[in-house]
Amino acid sequence: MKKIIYSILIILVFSALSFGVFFISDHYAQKWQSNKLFKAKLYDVNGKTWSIKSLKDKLGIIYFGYTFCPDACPTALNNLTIALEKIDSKKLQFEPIFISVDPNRDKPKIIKDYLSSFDTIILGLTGTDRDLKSFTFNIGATYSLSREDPEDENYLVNHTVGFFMITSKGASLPIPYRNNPEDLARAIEQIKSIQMSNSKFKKISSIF
Amino acid sequence: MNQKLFFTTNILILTTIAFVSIISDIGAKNYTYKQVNASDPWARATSKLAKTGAVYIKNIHNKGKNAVKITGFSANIAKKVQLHNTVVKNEVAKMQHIEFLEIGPNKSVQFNPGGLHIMLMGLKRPLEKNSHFPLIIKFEKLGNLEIMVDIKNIGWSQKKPSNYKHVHH
Repeated sequence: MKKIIYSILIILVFSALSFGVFFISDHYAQKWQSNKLFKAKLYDVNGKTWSIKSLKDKLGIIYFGYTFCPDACPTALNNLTIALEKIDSKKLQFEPIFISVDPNRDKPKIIKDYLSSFDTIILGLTGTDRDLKSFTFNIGATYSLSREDPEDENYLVNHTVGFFMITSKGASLPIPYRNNPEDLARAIEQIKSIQMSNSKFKKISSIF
Repeated sequence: MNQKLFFTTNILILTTIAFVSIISDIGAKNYTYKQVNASDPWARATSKLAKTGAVYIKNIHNKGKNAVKITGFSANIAKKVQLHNTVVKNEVAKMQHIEFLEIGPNKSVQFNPGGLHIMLMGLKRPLEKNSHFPLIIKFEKLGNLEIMVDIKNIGWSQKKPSNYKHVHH
């Protein structure tokens, strides 16, 4: 009888320990990742530094692109504009953000001009190549220049096509790629509910 | 009396012609040359400092018995005009430059946002909404087809054609 009680106790202690280790390591891994996101210095179209902290209670929806891009970027940003008009017409929940991954050509003035043609206010950001690399890597995005001739000013940039949803605490989730406003709106709603339940889970895990 | 009747008939014919031309202006814009037909070419308006733009064509149809080959494009509005295809692979968007595009007999191709598009590089002036500009599609052997590209507001979206198909290269 004693043996059975002992083994049950051991199993309980072991599972409690492994749960603890899981929560703690998950907590630190995410903290490490969001720290990197906080550290990357990005600036807005007026040259002011920007941090994800300034999102406050809003969820940032980030698109990585470049103003020279004639097809994928305006199509995506236009889809986002229409999608947000449907699910957040009062602009209380989401903050649309365009981050240029082509700082060489995309000076703040050019980004400002580019975003002025969309039907909604989109926050424009960029940074140094180093900060952009760190930020995109830690969010799970990527970009690379497609330039055969280094003198060619008409080069293209390959970049992640999907959006990312980010909180002011640095928790980010990718929004699956959708090439029309209706499906994109649905995907945003889904990712938002995951983001919400994740933050509740994090509140519980922070006890450990 | 006869003269009056002649006059009213004339006016009637003229108004009918005017009316028909307005109607056709609202509907699809078709450009036909020999065995090829291009319908509804459009481009998104750009901002003032934009260097690039993209042209879309709802449909290019080859109604002939032989395949046709598009070998290039040209437009006065830009320094360079190229055919591009946006390809999404592993969630990364890449633009492919396409040198030639073949359209088989009785086949069509569609140029839609997020896919095939004619890229205008080095715009000489921004694309202003509600205006238009000429673009030449160069066909091997056949010759050139000149079309007028309508510039639409950035929020405008083209309705997918009913026989929407993906093109493979």
